[in-house]
Amino acid sequence: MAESRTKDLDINIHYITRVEGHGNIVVNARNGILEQCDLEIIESPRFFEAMLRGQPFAQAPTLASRICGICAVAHSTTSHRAVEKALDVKLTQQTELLRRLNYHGEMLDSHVLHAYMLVAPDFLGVGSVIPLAKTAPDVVLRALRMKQLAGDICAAICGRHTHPVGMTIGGFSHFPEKEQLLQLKDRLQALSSDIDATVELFQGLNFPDFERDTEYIALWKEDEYCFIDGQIKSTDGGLWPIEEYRNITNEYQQQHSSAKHARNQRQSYMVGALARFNINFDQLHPKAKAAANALDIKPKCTNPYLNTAAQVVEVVHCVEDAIQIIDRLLDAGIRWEEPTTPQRYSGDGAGACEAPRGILFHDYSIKSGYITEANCIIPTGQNLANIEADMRSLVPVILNTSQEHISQQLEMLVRAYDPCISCSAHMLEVKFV
Amino acid sequence: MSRTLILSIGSELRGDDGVGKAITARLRISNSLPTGVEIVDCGTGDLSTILMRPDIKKVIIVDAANMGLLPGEWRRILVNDNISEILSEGDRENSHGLGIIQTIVLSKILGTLPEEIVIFGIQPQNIEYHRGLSSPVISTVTEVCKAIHFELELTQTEEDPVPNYLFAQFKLTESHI
Repeated sequence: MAESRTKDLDINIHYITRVEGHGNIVVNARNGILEQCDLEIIESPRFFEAMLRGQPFAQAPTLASRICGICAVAHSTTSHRAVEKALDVKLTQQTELLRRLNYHGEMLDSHVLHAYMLVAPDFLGVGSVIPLAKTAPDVVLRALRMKQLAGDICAAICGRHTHPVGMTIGGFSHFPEKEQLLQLKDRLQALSSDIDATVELFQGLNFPDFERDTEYIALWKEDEYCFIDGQIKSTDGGLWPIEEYRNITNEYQQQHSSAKHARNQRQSYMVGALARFNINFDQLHPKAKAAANALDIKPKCTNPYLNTAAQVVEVVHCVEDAIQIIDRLLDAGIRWEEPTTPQRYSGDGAGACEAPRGILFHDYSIKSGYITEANCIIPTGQNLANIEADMRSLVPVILNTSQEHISQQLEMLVRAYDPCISCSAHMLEVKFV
Repeated sequence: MSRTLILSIGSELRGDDGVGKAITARLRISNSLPTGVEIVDCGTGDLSTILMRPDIKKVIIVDAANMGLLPGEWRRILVNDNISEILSEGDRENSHGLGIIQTIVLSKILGTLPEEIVIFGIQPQNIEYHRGLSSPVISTVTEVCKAIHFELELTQTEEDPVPNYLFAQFKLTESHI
């Protein structure tokens, strides 16, 4: 890898590939001393909170689900929880199980996308999933099979593959048939060979050997691997109710970033699959723990590149937990339920869920049925300071390798966090000739 | 039974980028779609599995497209005629999920490409973060709906596809703004 000693370094990677939105990596070193090491976020402000203000409360989750096509279920579920807490809406056990099942669909979809299509190409020596499809079509078809099932879970529960419409305040407006649940269970069980092959594939990848201890923060529940509700927990110690999220995120501005940074008990913290893995390992399904063992990852893991390995562990967990949830729904008998009605039409509520890439907060004030204030804190914003801290720790270690190698390692590092810098407008460009 | 899939792509939180959804919403309530036609609003989600279904013979994509035209102008574009051009562009991967161009390229490589893919591209005026379509784009929604109905009638009668409007050759890429 290292051919030349690099005392001066000028890296300016415009538009990091295979991440959502626009981010640049800027690194400068003079005489071997690191002078600048930034992850520049150059997205324009998005004004989602302004779009939520003035909307009737029932409209908020629909709008929120459009913030991101990859995390649509996470935004919608978090928005629902914020409204339901503000208006004191209690949920039935069936509703909670259906939401968890729906959530597993999105988690599976997003993790498979990230691990197979965005990260694996780096390790398999190809530029993207397109050449990978030429050299290893079986690998890509396996990923697509898993993603198809993940989307079908969301469609069965919420009526659509993405941007769910079946969830409503207090419950659901759409319920799966018993036969649908049985079919999903059969397909999830039949997925075992694909899951085994996935663990085997990532077991064989040579993740960079880089460690940096940091604070890890995730939602936590005593009795389940937590994706929805729970409390906020830190590996540095501390357990807080969701309502105190502002005291944990402590957002602040940085000149080189249009997105706010966050810090808690140190200068930065990490959220996402690795944070969940470090905090909630005990609540993982036994098969997921076995997968972690096979992938040689155990808590507390401090290698950010292994966020992808933690995602693979969560893929195993989500599949197994989804089967158990379907069994519970079938045992209880899936049935039509009227959504629970609000106890009031004014109030404040903060909802939190674990989006695939970390904790997501939605906090609303509602007055006479209309949203008057909204605050949304996304996981990637919380990770930005930690990514930069990793970069500052990593660059001096590899400073004497080639510039190309340093650039590649930094891009892979940013990509490992699975960042979602924005929800881009996917604009077709047509040039007539 | 072979089916036709109509896909709308784009974010309704970014002004005219939501034109695809506005058009498919209008088609959905028209009550005159032939049998075997399915509408999917893809929003801004990953599209990688959307062309994997073996029962889909034809796909109609409705999306905002930067074509250097006046806002509200639209074009019908036959993808299959230009697949080699698209293949050369499709490896530019710069997004989190797979966009439509990459999805087309991926499905060509994996042998799942539907027989016919048609894009109805509408030139937007404004795709900044805000809700609602601009006046020129709103006024084109009805026209594009009519054109899609015409397209579906031709598909039903299995006549030859209508020719591209105005342009025979083009380069198609995808940007992330």
